Amino acid sequence: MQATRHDARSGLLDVERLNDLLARIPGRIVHKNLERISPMAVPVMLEIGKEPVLSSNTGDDMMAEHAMNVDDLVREAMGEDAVETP
Amino acid sequence: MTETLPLFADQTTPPLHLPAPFVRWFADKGWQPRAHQLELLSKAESGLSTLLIAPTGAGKTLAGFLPALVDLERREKPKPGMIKPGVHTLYISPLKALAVDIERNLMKPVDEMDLRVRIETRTGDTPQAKRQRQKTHPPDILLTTPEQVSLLLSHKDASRFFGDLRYVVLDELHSLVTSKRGHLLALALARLRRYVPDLQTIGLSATVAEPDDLRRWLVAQEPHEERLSELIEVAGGAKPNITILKGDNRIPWSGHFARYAMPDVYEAIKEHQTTLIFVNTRSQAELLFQELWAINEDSLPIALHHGSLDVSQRRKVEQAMGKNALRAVVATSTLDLGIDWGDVDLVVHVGSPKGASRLAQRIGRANHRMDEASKAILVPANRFEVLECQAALDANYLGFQDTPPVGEGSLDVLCQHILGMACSEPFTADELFAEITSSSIYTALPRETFDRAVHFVSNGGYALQSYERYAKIRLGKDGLWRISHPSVAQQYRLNAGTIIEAPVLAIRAVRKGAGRMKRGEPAQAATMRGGRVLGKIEELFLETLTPGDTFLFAGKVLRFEGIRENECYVSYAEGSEAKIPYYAGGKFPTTTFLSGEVRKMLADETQWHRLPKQVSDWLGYQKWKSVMPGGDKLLVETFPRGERYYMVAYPFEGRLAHQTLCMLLTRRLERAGAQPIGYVASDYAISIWSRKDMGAMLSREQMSLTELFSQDMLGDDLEAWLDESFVFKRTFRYCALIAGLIEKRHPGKENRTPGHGFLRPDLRCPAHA
Repeated sequence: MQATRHDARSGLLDVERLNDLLARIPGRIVHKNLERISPMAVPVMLEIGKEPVLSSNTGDDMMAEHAMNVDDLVREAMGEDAVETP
Repeated sequence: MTETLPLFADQTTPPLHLPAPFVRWFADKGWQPRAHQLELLSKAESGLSTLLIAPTGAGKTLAGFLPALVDLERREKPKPGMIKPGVHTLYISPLKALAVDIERNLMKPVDEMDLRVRIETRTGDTPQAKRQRQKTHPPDILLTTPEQVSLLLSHKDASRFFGDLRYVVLDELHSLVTSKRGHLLALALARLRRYVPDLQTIGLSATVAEPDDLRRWLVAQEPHEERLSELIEVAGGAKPNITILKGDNRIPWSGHFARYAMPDVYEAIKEHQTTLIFVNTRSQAELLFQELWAINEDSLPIALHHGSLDVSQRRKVEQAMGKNALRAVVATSTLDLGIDWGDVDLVVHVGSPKGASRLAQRIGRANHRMDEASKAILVPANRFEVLECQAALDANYLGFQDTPPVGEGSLDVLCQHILGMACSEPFTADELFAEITSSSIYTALPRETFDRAVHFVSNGGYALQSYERYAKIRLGKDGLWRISHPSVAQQYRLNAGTIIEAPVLAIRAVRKGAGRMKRGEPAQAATMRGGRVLGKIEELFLETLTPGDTFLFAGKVLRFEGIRENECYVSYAEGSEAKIPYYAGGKFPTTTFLSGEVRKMLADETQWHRLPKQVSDWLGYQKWKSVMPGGDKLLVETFPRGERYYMVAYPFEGRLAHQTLCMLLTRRLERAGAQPIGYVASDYAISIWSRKDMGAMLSREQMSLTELFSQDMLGDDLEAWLDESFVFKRTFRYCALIAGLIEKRHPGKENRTPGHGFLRPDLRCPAHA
């Protein structure tokens, strides 16, 4: 079990790296409350719907309803003129 | 054969006498032995172990084998009636393919010099008959992998087999030592040293940050005294010429396939003699191979190489490559390390290089001549990868190495080794402890932990004390630990090896519709047998398929027909629409170093002009609409969208750490009453969504980011989650497999029921262990 906990922490969970992050950020967290999605958030928002999401007690609502549409997101984040044609 | 020529390695070493065939061979080739090759030979002749650090193309391999070849050449011709000697030199590589490749490359000079040296490989792919023959009639030089060494050591006749060993050559040592296979190998070396106390090691390595870690690793440590091997460092090599792909196509926002870039990559293939295209995952390899063939108007010979392909197919590609018969190979890390290819003049790297060392390695493939610059093109698959590629590029020019530190030996590997040693011969705890702690990564092992490990092997540990079947070794009245039954040794040999793979099934091609039947029906032998085995695929992926689904494998679109025993039946499908195979392997998180560089680049606006315009524009928009993440700050954005409220943060710490963070944050958000619904983590950012407006809660100070992100989440929250999580149970099984607690394969039992869980019922409760 000693080996397992150590492995889980370092391997699948990367706890050490998370620990370094949490140690680094106190006093350095910048909160920005926005009215809509930011340009930088587009990639991670596109990941939603690609994979199931874990949550403890929310039942069937766990899955995002549908994959995000890239053009919608880009338009919201950067404005109408920023939508590129593929 | 008595003619020799004195050669001087340098002023400080004594003159060397290279046997005549060697002198003639170098002269015939118009070559001079390189200084580091002679220096290594000289140290070896003086009985010393040495670490050679040299860039790709410096003749490392020849340097590593020269002492063995010279010694074997000088050895007396065996007289009739003489006992056949055991193995003289072991060459250990991290990859099967590398061992096979070295055999090819070593045979050439050996044949040309007409040396009487027998060289053979032994890997997981070696047929049983050849293995048997090797044991009774050992080759002079055995090329093998760490797992095979451990297996050989677990046999009763190990001391005889290895009794004449003089050298152990360890290739790509920097890569070997950091994994569990490296731990297993360190323990194997300790055992070999017990058989042959003056055994010499030769470590071959790329540049590393801490050479002393490797120097310690190579030699036996004394209880209170640090020992180091000799060190030879070769500087330099020409700087590689690396660029980021410049094309007119739109760089995708997300995704990892870089389909958009294939027309440009194809053009690059046409402009070069031989191109190696490296990708990070097997599914990437499959898809891009397909894409390239779709646009291969000139029918260029382009091949595919990854670890799931059938071994004969891989060999074919490797041989064609060696003969310069291919124009391009799409490959994963199975081709990664040190393999000497023909005249590769371009390396294309698709996707994030996920760590600067790996990038340097791969680029080393191109152009193996040290004094000519290698050429490489990086192809980012999405916008964040553009940033990563730029960072990796900068790092490569700096020659920065970010391989992980060597660290301490792991306990599950220790347990496996203890059992292996018991299979070989009975041992006393004192002697085995002394042997194990002579290895540099186990010197700090407390005796108490060692004793617990021995008892763990004996009784399966606390959790399984009542299970008699797990009593694998027993302590006799004579103070010797020995295996409780010969079958234990048999099982050990079936299960040894630290690379624990997800359950895999062989893929067999059959006629369409042939596999449509329910499990449990008798096999319809006539229609099902005889098809070709195409390779292996993970059970986890197959569970997501229903018969009739199509997927991409070995460059072909296959139709899933069904599963029979431990085989997956497929037929060849028409068309090009297919699901893509999913593989659990090959998903590396971005390294800490590279993440740091990306954060720096984001924070420093003066660097942006080096990026493609689409990407620098994107960063500009971010700065305008929100703020830039990066530097030592953590940006947390909140915004509403649809019916949901989102929280997006940008730690850039890799997917694994992000997933853990998400999971723990979600627990906290739930306690704070934000009603989180779900989360997603990428290598760069996390997104959590909820029913309550998290932005408003933060603004009204109903919730605090400092508290949400406080370090103490790694305390109780993490422990609580570990106890209940599936991930943990799965890891437990992996460790238990390595430590020998669960049998992966049991003689006579085929435990391959698709859909069975990761855990046996009796191991379902690790929490109280």
